[in-house]
Amino acid sequence: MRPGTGRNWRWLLLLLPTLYGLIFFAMPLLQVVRSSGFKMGPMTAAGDTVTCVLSFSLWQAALSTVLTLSIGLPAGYVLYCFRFPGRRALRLLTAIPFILPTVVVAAAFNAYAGPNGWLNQAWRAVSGSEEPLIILTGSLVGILMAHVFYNLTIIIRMAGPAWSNLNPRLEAAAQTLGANPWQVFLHVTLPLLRPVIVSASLLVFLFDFTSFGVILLVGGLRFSTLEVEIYRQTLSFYNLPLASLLALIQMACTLAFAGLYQYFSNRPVPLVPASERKAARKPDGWRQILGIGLVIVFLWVFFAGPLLSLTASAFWSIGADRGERGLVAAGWTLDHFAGLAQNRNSDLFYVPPLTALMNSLKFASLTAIVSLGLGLLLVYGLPRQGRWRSGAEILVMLPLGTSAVTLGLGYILAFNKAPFAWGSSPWILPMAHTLVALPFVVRTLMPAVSSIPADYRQSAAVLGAGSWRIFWSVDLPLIRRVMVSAFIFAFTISLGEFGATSLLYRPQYPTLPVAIFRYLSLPGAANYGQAMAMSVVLMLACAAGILIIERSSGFLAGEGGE
Amino acid sequence: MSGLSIRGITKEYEGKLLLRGITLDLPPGEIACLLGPSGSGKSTMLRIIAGLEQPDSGQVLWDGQDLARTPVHRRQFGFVFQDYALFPHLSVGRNVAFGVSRARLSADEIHTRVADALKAVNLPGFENRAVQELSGGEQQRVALARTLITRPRLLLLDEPLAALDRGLRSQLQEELRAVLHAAGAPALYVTHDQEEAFFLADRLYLLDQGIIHQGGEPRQLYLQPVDGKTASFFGLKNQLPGTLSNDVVHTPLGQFTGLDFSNLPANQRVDGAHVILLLRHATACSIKIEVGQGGILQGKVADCRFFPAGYQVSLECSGKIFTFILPEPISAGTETCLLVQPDDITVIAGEG
Repeated sequence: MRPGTGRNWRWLLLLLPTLYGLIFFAMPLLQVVRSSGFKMGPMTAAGDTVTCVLSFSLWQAALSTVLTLSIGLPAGYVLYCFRFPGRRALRLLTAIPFILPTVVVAAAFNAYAGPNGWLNQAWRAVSGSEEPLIILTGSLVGILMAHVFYNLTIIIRMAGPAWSNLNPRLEAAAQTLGANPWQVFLHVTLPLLRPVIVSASLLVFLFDFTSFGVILLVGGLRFSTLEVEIYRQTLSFYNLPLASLLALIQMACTLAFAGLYQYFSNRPVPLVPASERKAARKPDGWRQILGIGLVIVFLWVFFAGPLLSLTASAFWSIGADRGERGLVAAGWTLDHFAGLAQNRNSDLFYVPPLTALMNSLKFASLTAIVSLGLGLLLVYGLPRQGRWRSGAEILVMLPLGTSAVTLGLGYILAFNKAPFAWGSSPWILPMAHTLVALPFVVRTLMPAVSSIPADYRQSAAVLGAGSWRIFWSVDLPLIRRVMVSAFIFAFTISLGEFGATSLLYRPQYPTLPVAIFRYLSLPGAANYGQAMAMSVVLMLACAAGILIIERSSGFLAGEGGE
Repeated sequence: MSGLSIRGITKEYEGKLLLRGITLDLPPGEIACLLGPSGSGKSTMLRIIAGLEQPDSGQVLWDGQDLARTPVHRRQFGFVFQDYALFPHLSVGRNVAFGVSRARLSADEIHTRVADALKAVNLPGFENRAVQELSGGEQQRVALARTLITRPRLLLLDEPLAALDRGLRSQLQEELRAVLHAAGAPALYVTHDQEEAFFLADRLYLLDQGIIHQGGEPRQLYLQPVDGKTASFFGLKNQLPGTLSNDVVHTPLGQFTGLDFSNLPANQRVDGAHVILLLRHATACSIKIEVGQGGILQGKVADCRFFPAGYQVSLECSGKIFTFILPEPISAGTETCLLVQPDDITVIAGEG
């Protein structure tokens, strides 16, 4: 037992997090289960919806995963096994979408290849035709591309480093035994990488399966996955039992896939020892240079295209639609940003975008404060070893496996009657965001806190410091940087959160993602431009937050792979 | 020229010239050892022969034909790696079958050949074992079987025993020699262990700093090393430089007479030539006497240790240490003389 930190009162630290977990996690989920279970009987028509939605969820996720894998494997190979100018920048670029809020990615795809996207504007200008060249928004192809855009980095970062550190003598041995390059790849390289490929694919599949914002915003009304259908049944039809049933199915599937992932992610890949690792090689021979060049060009275009389009659209007026007053000429403009403070739509339910931004900042601050506080209590309150340790960790990570939309539905069900009639209060939103952010906060804090050597605290205790003094003078200075990272992490997550928010926000207090969603679905050049401007603001805010974290951890550029 | 010929291979690695023009021939059926200290480029040489790396210049020839455009998988050279490089995702049997699985053979035929190959390396019935279950020695035998089953026209072995402990190594050395002779294919064996090289090699090449210092039969190399460096690599560390004059070698430690100069090139057998005396054995003699033949080392015993072959006595003479195996101990600190007979002295050309 550690002096100064008595075991007797340690559990008291867990009181508040437990209370929070019971009210804001367990109760809403129980309500979802109850709501789906009790009213199953009369729903005969529900069967078709469930089958249809479930099969589309699985189908699109499978397609997206196959596509992500078939692009991600060559990309990971090129980015980690070869040396070429701009490699670091390209790795960073491919990782950016992963940290962006879904609404931003959706807006970026809209700006890239939507009806008024740059591809189609360019096509119209070149061909003189009124017809667009290609519209990715509202199509399955668009959904798939957005998913690849989002998740490619998972494959790249998991398969790439494993590939580059694969024991090269295994492939050499196969060659000397008479296998040609293709046979070496098929019979040696691929089987050796299989554990990594399988677990990365499962992760991608899990993300694609639970995808909400991309399907709703890029796919539009025609496509419905479990997540989207939960949202739709809740908000449009107010069929809460059906929504709950879907949420239950969603949870079961997610748990199953997460379990599979856990099972496969523990399989080892034969890597060379760190001391033997060689620097990535230069491409050799014209065929290799050509192939690698093609991959590099593809990645630059595929990733820079949407992001640049989004930025450009925020500064570009696409010209007025018929019957719209105001902006007429197409051209470069700052109007979209200047207009952020105005409420162009006289509708009561619209607020100026700037107000939405302020709301978002308020909610994000509250989320970050609450989740950091709860996170610290958890990290210090949880047992550090013993049989309760791993169970407690799983419990803390559980919200990760629960979809945000399901959470939103649970809140609607749970907080509509006394004594929990908080459903109409704006601060319910930060509570939901906290639940989403908490696992990340704990994961950020945990390693830092457990790596503080015990003898620091012991020597402080020997010198006569009490528990609180020890925390204040020993722990706090050591974990301050990590606390800042955790705070920003939670802040950024709240800023971009869309799933739970879309169900829970009050019309008077929309957040920035909600405002982007609404403006994107409205007609008119001005609304389009403002959605783009807001997206750029959100993108910059998230990028700034992540860059600050990145400076202390170096995660994005993938320095770990060499 | 049949078999393997290497012509003027050079290779630069990270800005350093690793191989500086390697030329050697390997006649059919012979086991040649490429002996050199670590970092001498011997493994790189082997990888170039296999086609796993490209030389900067020079040629690898087989039966007189340049292999520059022949990819690794068409060379039919077997390669045995130091770390075995067994495929961890395949069983022992499927590892061994890897090289023949693409040949047009029936399943029965493959099965028989795998069984035979495993029997040849003393691992009968190991087909269904997992690679990870095997000891280092067993893994290397599997690697050998996996290579031999393809009936390579040349076998390349890259320090195959270096990762094993001493006892196992000498046991496997003997097995390896038997297996290699049974296979009949020429083999090029890379090692830094001179005992291993002497044990296995029909022909020995000494590689250091990117060039082959000397090549030939092991006995010839040992008895007639071309220079001091080569000699010390073979364990001949008692080297005494001197100057030749009237068939007497004058050294800082005294004169040596009655020596055999047949190892010296003719142009070095002249008065004033610098030579090196390699002193292989010595016998104790308590008082300094005038001798007609050989020479005397006088000094202080720095160290005396017991070994099964005798007592290893280190004698310090004017700051230089000479080490000999003697039948009787001489306690450290004793001033003594050691007699070196002409038969135990090899004269080689010195520097300068």
